[in-house]
Amino acid sequence: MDTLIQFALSGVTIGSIYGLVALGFTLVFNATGIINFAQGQFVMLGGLLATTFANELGIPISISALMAILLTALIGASIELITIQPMKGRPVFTLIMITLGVSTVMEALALLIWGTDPIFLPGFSEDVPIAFFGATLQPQMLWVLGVTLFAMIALQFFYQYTIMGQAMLACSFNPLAAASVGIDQQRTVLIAFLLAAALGGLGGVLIAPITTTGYSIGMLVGLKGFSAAIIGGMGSSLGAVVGGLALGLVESMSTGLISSGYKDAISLGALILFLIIRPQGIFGTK
Amino acid sequence: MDKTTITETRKFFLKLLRFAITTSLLTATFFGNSIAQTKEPYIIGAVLSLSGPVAANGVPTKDGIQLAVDQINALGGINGHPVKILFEDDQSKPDQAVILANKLISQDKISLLLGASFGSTANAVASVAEKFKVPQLAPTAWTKADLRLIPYTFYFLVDFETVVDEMLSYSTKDLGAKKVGFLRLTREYGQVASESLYKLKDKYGIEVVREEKGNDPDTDFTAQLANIRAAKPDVLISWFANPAGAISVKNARQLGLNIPIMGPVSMATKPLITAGGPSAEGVILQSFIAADDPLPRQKAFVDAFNKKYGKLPEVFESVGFDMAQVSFSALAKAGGDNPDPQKLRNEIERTNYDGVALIIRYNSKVHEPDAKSILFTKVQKGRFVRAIQ
Repeated sequence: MDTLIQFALSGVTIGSIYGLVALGFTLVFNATGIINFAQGQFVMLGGLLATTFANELGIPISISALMAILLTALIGASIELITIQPMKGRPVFTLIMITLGVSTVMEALALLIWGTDPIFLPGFSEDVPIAFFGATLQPQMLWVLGVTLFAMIALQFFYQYTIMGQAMLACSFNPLAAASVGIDQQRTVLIAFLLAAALGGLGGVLIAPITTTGYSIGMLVGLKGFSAAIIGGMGSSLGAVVGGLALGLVESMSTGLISSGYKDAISLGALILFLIIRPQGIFGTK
Repeated sequence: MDKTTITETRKFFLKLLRFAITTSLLTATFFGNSIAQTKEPYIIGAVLSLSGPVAANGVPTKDGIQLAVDQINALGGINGHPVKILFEDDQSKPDQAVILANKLISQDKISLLLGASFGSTANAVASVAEKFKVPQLAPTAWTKADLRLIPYTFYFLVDFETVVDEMLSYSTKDLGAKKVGFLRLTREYGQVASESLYKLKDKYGIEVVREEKGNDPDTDFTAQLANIRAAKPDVLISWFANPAGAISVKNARQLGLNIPIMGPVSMATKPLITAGGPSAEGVILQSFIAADDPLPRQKAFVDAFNKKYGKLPEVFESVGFDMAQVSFSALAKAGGDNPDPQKLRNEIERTNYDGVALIIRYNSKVHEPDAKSILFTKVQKGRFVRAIQ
């Protein structure tokens, strides 16, 4: 039994990260209809920037984390300005291919800057495990879960109660109509990328103390986040987090109970299953 | 023309020929040195995993090779031939390794191939090396029994069954452990270790209480380690390459699994300490060198490495250096402008060398280093130190 609880705890932790990545997908998708394949690279970038600030420059971990998230957000916004905005009016498919290219470039640059070694980031609070019904709970896990839930609620609030959030949704539903009622589409998309990159960076900073970070983690995390977004329902913030948690739990249970070899096959198999049976996802409406 | 004229002409030409031969020989003798300076370089190719999940082995191997190449070129090369080294990155992928090995052999005309870095890539490259009859010196050990002794492949890590044997001896004698928890890579590297473990368990009277598997790119082994913890082992053997190895150690400590942890040479690399952080303290590793406290035969290398790179070498730096030394000595003995691969291979097979990391006694039956090379280290205050003084 305590072993099962342990599987669940580890599933919830990694699942929260998938949820954060999925929230980033959701943000960009809701503003533009684009699937941003560079989303996973923001996770990589956030984590690596934080390690540089904390380990190399000796800045306290909380400030390092904030700086890393801020810088990742700015980089995300610059990427939008340089690569997406000039392509205004091109088909969505072209833009998706561009994000794929951006993702590869980011990975290569990270390899040149940070090298191949995986890097360790100290935890946010003391690294003493907490006993939890016979299983052990790491303090960092609480951070991950708490921050993810907070981000989800904040995003839900953003879409429902702020002008900016509603403008963002409007841009995705009908760009022409949105423009005709005076919504500045370029600014809206820019902000969507900024927030998505910030969420990615946040995920990277949170997960680095648990799994370590390195230049190559972006692609896989991005893929899992994408699966989570599909499973939860593309466009829904609640769906993104639920999808992420579900995926994390399935992965960790299949690793513990069956074998780790099937972990990725099972989680990506779930993606295919959803795409066939329920393409709108758990919380999607269409 | 009458007969005498013909004879005279022939004599003249013969004289001329003799003169030409003598002059050229004399020139060669007198100006031999300056000709040697411009001798064609010996080209050595290296296919290593410089990125991807096994980069923690490949990158230090490259540094070690580079140091050896710089040293020999500073001394005027091998019999006057400078050494040119071409590094290629296979991204830890067997298909890339094969493409690059083919390219080095057919386009760059290399005499020798260093690499590839681990089981899957080295096995793939072995087929290329055998096909073109170019010797492969691989910084790994055999992982497929039928590739253990093939003509053109030579290994530079002690075979993994011997390693498991030494590890069990250490854990029973020095740690007093009887119940082994085993977490390993799914790929052939872990497979060989697993087979060896079950083969040797009765010899040491130990019990494998739980075996679990994981993969190179995994970032979390908590689920597997929870199963191992439930089986209550008194030693954990974690059989990975870093970073996965470092993460496994970290996860074990996070789960409160406070038993001795042992790992193979592929975990005795820097990321264990940088990524494992405080969790890595006390982990015992099968290695060949403890740079803080080098053996007499390792001292000069450690100093030279420290001077060039401003840091102490770890295990794969030393293995890379040894590979380069063995290839230089074979090239020197095989000689010629374009060393015959068959001759080179035979020279490598006769290697009798006390290297930095490895003691090598190759012969027609043995293409792997001697078990005496093994040295156990442990992590202490963020450094690898000798485990037994």
